[in-house]
Amino acid sequence: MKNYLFKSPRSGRSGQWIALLVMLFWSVNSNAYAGPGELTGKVTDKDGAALPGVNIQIKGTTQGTVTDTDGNFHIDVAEGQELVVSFIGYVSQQLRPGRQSNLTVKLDADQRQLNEVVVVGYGTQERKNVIGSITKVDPTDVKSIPVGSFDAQLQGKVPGVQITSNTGVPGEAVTVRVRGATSINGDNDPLYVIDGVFMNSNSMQTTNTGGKATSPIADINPNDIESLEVLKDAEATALYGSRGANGVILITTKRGKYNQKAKVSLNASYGWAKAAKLWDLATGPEHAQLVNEWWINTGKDTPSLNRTEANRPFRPVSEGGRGLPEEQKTYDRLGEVFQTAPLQNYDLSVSGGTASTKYYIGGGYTKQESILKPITFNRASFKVNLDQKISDKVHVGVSNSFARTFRNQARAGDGPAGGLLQAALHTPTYLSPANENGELVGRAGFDNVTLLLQNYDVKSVSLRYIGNLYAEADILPNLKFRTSWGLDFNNYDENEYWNTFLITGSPNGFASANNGQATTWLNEQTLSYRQKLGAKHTFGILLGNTIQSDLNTGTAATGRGFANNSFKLISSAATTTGSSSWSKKNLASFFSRVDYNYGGKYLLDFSIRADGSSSFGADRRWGYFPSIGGGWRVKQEGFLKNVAVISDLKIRASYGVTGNQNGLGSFAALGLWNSGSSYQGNPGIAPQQLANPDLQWERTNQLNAGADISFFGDRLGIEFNVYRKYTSNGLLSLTLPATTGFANYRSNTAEISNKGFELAIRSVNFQNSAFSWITTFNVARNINKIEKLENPLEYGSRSLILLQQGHPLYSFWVYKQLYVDPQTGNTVYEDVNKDGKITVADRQINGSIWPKFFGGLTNSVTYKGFDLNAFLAFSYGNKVYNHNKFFGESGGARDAARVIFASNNARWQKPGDVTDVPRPDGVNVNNYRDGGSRWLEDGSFVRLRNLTVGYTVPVRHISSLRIYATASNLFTITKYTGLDPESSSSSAQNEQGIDLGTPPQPRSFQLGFNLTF
Amino acid sequence: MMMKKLNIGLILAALWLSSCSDLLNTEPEQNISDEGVIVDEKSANTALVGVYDALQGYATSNIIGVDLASDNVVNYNNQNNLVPDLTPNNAGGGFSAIYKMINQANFIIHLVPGVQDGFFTQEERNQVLGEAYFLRALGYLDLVKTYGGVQLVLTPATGPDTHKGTKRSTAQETYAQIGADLDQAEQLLKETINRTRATRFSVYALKARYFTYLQNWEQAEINASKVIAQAGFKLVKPYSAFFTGKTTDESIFELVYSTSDRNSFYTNWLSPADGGRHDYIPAREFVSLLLDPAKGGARKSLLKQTAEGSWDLIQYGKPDGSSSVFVLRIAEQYLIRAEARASKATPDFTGALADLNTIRSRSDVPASALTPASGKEAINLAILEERRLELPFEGHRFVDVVRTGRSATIFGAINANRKNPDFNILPIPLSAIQTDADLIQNPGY
Repeated sequence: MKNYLFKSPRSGRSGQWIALLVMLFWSVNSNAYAGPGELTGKVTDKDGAALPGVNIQIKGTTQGTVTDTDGNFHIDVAEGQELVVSFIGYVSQQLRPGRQSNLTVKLDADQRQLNEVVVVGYGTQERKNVIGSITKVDPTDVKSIPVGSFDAQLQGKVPGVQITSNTGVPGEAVTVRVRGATSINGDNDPLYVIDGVFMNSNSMQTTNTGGKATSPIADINPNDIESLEVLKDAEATALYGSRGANGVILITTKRGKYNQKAKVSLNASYGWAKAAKLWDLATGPEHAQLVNEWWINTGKDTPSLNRTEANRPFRPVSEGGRGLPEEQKTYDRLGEVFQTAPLQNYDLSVSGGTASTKYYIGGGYTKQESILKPITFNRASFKVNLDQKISDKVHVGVSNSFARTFRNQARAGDGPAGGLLQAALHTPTYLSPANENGELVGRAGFDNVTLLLQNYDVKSVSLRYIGNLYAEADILPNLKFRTSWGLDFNNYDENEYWNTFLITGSPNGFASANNGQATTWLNEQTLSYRQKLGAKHTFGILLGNTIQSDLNTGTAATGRGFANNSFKLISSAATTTGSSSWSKKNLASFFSRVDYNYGGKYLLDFSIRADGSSSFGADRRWGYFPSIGGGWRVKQEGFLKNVAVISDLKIRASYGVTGNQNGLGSFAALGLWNSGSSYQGNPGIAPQQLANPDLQWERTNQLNAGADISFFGDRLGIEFNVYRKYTSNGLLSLTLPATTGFANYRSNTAEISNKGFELAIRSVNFQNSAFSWITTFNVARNINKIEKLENPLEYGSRSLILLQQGHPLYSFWVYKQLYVDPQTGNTVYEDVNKDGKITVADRQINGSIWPKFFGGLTNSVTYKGFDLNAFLAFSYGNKVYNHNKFFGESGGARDAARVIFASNNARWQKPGDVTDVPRPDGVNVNNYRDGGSRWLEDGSFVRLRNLTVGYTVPVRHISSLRIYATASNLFTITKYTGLDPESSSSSAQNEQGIDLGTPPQPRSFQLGFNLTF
Repeated sequence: MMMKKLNIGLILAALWLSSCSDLLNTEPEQNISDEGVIVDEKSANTALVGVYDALQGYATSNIIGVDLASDNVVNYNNQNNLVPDLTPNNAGGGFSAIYKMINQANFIIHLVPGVQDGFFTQEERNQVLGEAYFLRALGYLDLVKTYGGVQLVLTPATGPDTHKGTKRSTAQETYAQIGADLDQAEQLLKETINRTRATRFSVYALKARYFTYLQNWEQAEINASKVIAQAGFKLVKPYSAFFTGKTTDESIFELVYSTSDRNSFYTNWLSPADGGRHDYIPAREFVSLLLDPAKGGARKSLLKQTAEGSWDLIQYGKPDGSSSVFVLRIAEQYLIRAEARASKATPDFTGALADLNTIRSRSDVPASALTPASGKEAINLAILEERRLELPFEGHRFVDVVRTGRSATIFGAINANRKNPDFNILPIPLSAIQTDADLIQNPGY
């Protein structure tokens, strides 16, 4: 059975898999035993329906049985022994049976699951009354995955939320998409709200790390998080108005409890990370052989080039060549830059409370080195949450978190100069790192790897405070008032220095520094009222307002021309420049929600938010975002009440409008003139952008329908949602005719749709006091489509990505390679327009970054003190462009300018060879054409994201001590020939899925303990 | 009690609402909004500085765009293909950036006459307007020499559709507009010497070039002579002094840069060892001409040999980014006058050769072997050759070969494709064609 479960759903036949999972419950059967002292009986729910699979155990022993499909059981009991009758989803009972033969035990349903409190926009709701599509995530079991930020840890945990790691560098931006992407030039990131504070999630990095960006989310210590709620449909997000269209992630941090003595918790772990594999490169002799072949082939094709066997590049030195291929050496650079990286993490917290005060104090320190030297992510943080009752009716509180995040950053993305990984990977292996004088030199336009490692000096420090102060008063028993003030302040300081050993620093050194501040403050008031009228009617009203202001300022300086490499500060540079930036945007909002509940059966709610934003055009200052939702708790109807198999059933539907104004820019609607266009030291001004008084938020209409159903007293729970999102007024930067003198114009002209489904299953496969096994599974599909876009837009290196009406966002635009002609060795591409030539008109869209489906599977097993958690994440049907391989499979045409991958050795050599690697010829033409589909690969994967084994040690005087070992990315099953199908060299929104010069996510192993006393 | 609280709440809410409209009007600090941007003398002058900045924004891309289409310069990574095959995909020349400058000049021409500022005298207005007309003329002249007749835009853009429906004018119409702007500028500007800004002398010099393109030799000579006659403009010696120094007597209009307003053109020319990227190098055959003491003479100082042996251009080679771009310098005026004298209805071959030899002697090259008896064809060929050597990397060579009708013989000899006269103008960049329904691509591309 266990084996079966570990056989992941990559087969795609998930339906079959689920069916088997369901059968599993039934396989747990009773072992009837008849004899002296035999007791027979039946277990039912309180309405008399039989309950199968109920656990019956004799207290203090290991003896026990389980009810059969009709709820019947037999057990041998001695006089005076006590029975424990327990079943998931029901309240356990203990009883001392007399000498009776037909005992009937009635179990009451345990309402805990349904009464679970879910955080929603500006309030909380009981799970049973939730109409919207909201996923609550307990982050406990993924918190040890060493990726720096909690959002990266959630991959595969939330149905419909696609999280892609892009890189193996901890603390760098990940891509988080809730139900697809809705925008081209706006932002697609969800809104993050931590304890009510709207958090800045845009990277403040300005240093060029080759398209990469730091993640501001990584300033949050995952250990301080109590729970996460992901709000997905319009019913749940409409209260966030013009910021809700991409979904909302609500983060609730840990707080103390009233009347609880101090609880101290210590968590420490140490571990190692290592790349699971590295690229397979051609050796020096192989490289030389391919270059010679290319030389001779092109000479045959174009005799005027005068390239012949006699003057091939790798001929004997005596003939003026670089030596014969077999004389070439092979130099390893990858081994020099990759390391086994140490990881460490420590968290200490104290929480508790008196009758009127509760507190949580936490401190954390984490240091994660990247597998790519010298990258380091280092965060120290502390947190203080405090709540104080002033009277029975009034209480106040604060949340504070402070973090310092230090990063040693290397250019792990695109870009030759200073690009560490590219220098190590893309320099031809036959080239010695030293010249004939023994001096270390860069080759092929890249820096020397050793010099880079010795002289790299790019560092940043983020100081982050996020806090909030609130007061809450019960004005009347049913009327509650709350006011709060929140602040998110981020000071981001970065410095880089390039000395004369590095290309960027030549000839006399270069330094740059940037200091930025992002400040968001907000104030909000809510008034909530809840009233029960008669026996069946309950309604609630929420009224609120917020004002928010975002201020971004920055000061930057550069220096060139240093006396020598000992001087590093800009102040010692011969030439310095300075600049500063300032932008501000304000948002004022009013919102309200009205909900109505009839007899616990019918649920209805309506909400609306009005947002006024300073960044909207003068004619579009206010936007209105309504939503309506309804739910029917079918289980409460008479006809289902007595069906014991179904323990709950709810059907939900919602429709609403949300907006997106992120990416709009503070002054995007204004006509602006810019200063700074100087001449001869005189200040000048120039027009910068045209006014668009109609500029507005993107508008997303979303329809959601879903059902929550659970069986066997909540042993099996299923949640299903289907949705359709349609975004209009999509922000689009239109390229203007040159005659306007402006490059582009912000408009609201794009339209994009997303539709899909989400399925989540939670199953308690087995549970008794000693052993439990719980499986959760989720799978989602999203179909993205650009509904309206006047002109196609090209993005990414070599225009690999095309945005075109009728196709999904981020579609790959390639020449489709059909085969390699076994006679000629040349690539045959699909001639789309059948004109006999391969031209740009033959480039076609071939797949996209979007998976056909994706999700995760978690199994947790506990046995006595042991616990085991295995978590698989999967994605099926997404494409990746292996851009490293494009460069590395140029068949020798790049000669000494680029490495050759070992895969190029499989090239066509003589008539009759059947291979998909053509014969070497020119670069970027014919066989090794830019944008060839040969490097567009299937990025489907199944990854063992995390495997944790723990043991809780029974020790006196402390409440718990657990030791554990955890491993991440132990295996990845994929057809992708690069290192990591999730790699993407750029964090730019429209350039995803191009794998170039990025370290893979490492395999890691950690040991640790949690101690609570 | 409760009512009281609610009342306070209502009052607060009302107060808050009234402050809302202020809250939602945030004004940028880095920029100013476009209403009332040119309102007085000071703002008119800062807007004019912005036009010079825009000229800096396109000057080098126009130079390299046309020089790469000539036989003087090649891409470092594609040296075999001496004269590149141009395609709209990789078209250069600064098309959009030139229109950016024209739009800024249009703002000034459109707004300055109406500015209500008592302290903004007519004389000051004339200066500002004259410079704007000059710069607009320069922009259109660079467009027409590179791409042929273009869309004539004479009013500032206030919205995305301001110029919708404007079709391309013919080359003749474009030249007519340039002539009109130059006449305006000549009237408005004064005969002062300011080598970094437009003056009436810059207008004469640009007119000399303009009439050369139109083969109006009488006007070309008259205008060139007006500049040459001014004692403030002299050929400097040695040759290299004009680009190693700054605003020397050589310059009529020099676009200057500084360490804080950098000209990054050096990065395109210098090798990595000197802090550059080595995108372009002078063509091998041309290098040998420059190095020839009987041809290039002192002009070989434009070049520097690197450790690898290649010859790099150092005219723009100050690694602190302070190299100037020479829009108009006196050497060109001598060669224009030489050409005009040799070509006009009643040729003055003696005068033509005198001008030619003035240029040659400055670079220590022996006087031309030609005599007035050599005739128009031979003298003009020698002038063309001299222009190539004297003004090799300032965006002249391509248009000189084309306008003298020799592209098929000179460029065609290196790349047979270039015999097709369609390639005597560059393609308009594909991106510009795709975004403007009114813009039709040049034939042959």
